[in-house]
Amino acid sequence: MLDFDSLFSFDGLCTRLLALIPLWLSLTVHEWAHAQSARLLGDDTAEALGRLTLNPIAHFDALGTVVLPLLGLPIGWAKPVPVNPTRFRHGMPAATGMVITALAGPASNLVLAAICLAGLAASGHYDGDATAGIVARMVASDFFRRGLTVNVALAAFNLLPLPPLDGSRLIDRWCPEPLRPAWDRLTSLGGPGLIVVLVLLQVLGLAPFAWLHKLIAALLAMVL
Amino acid sequence: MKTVLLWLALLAIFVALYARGQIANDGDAPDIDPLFKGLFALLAVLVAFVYFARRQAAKGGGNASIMGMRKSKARDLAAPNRLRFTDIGGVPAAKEQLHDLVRYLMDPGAWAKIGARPVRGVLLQGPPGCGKSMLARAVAGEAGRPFLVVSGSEFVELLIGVGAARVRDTFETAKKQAPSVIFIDEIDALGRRRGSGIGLANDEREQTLNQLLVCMDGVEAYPGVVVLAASNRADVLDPALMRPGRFDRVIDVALPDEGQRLAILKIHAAAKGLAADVSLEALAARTDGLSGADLEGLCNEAVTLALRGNAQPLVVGAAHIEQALAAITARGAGFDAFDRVAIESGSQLVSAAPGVEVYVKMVDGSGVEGRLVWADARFLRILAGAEQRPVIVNKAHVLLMEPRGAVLTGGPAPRPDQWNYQPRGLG
Repeated sequence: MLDFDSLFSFDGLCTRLLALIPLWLSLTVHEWAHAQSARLLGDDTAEALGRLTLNPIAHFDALGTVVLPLLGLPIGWAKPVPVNPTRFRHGMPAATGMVITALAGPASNLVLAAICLAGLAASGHYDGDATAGIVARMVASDFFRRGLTVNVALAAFNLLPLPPLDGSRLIDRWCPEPLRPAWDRLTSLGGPGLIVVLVLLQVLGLAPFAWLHKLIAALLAMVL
Repeated sequence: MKTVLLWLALLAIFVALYARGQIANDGDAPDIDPLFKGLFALLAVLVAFVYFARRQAAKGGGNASIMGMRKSKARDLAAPNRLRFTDIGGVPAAKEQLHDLVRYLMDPGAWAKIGARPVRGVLLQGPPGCGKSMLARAVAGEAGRPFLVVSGSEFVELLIGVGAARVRDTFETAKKQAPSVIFIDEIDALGRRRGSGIGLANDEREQTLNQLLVCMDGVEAYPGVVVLAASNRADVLDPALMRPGRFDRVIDVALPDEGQRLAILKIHAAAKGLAADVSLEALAARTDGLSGADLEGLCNEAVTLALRGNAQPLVVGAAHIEQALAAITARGAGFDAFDRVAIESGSQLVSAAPGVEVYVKMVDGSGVEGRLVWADARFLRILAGAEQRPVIVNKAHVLLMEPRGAVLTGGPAPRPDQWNYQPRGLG
């Protein structure tokens, strides 16, 4: 899946960039949703760090936002938004609050996916046939289709219950006490470990994202 | 506004790329490529240029020159970082001695009037985590005078003469605001005994040290400048640093005893809700060998664990404390936390005859002889596995001896009534 050859031709680069833009916008909204939900619960850590913004640059992460997607990874990630559970107010328990702020990200992607679906339906479905429609509708259709794909993928990927991902917060909250030490150890391996494993699998051609593709393809086939 | 523009720009790029893709597919526009390539390259160069220019500006610039290198990096300690003596628990003797320094800083004239030699240097020494830096911050807070903070390693540079110039610059800065304090953290980075290293690189360090010696008590005096230094390796410092007129006051900041630990725990637990089943007194009695920083870490760990429990309002219970204690004890690759303390106090040379007669030689050269009463299992393992004697052991151990009692206690030693002497595999 990681494809270096097409990257080094100008055409290939343009194609990749085309796919990157909806991803960047979606990641931005995803991180913004984390920050905004934390803010609503009373934690202004992210806001103080300038992360409560829809400005893509604020959430930029060189590896997860540019390099890996450019190399063909179908998803990406942005700089994590810090959340300080001790600052939640309104009687919000820390662990539950963490779950809410974590879920806000994937939820925002699902909302975006719904919007893209609506946009796709409104702009009609053109399958690259230049004579069939007006250029503007073609562009919009392509944009919404990419947006739909990438947002479903982001929501699904981030809901995986693996430590650095948002889905792991659910386990954090409801992990049975006896399993807690093992879970904590997994969490401390966390971040880079998961990424390395995913990328390695991808390079080896085991394609851990194949199921994601199938899911999205099935979804698209269902609605279109 | 910027955000909106960025989104619009990204969308515009998307449209452009899409249109380009359509045209390229039609195959009728091979001559568009160079134009796009040129524009793209221009854009990339522009973005890179702006990015680097802004980063340079953010750095403040100007510091890159040779002259800039000679400037000291010392900065005045900001008010929020200044503490009071009451913020620190459990170091009564050190506080008492530092009080003299504070009194001097507040009114140097009084000392001159009675003809006392002004305070020039105070060295805080002791194992890590026992509060040396905190005490320094408290001196700053109590005295309310300029307090220049610099770390010993900041004087060490590759270029010869730079470190010495920085020392002079620091003292000049301090002199202008006298009475003032220069706080050199981790002074062993530059104060190491001269002539002890190998190679030319040490010339720079020795020059820096010479400059410090001269500045502290040389022919050129810096009246009203007090040097406060902290080190956990006071044993490697150059003797010239320690003579009267320089660091003539050495304040030991040792590991806290039981009562002091209680004072420390009370400070760290004050802000946190404690359940009724928590007895700080009992905890203080059980944490022999832990430093102030360890205790702070313990409290923090307990609060973190309580947070996870999801209770509202947050209450730290005895169970959380137990778990935290277990956690910090488990840290450090199988050695208990108690050990870390004595590792820092230097290596101990131990030779033991087969059986129970033991001779322990301490780093300062003194020795103790006696019958080994009790030793922890790890120590016995090291002794048993040693190929030759004497054995150099630099991990800490609990080693109880008669008739002298505990000689090396790096950890929680059992009380005499718990001694269960078994000569397990010694030698």
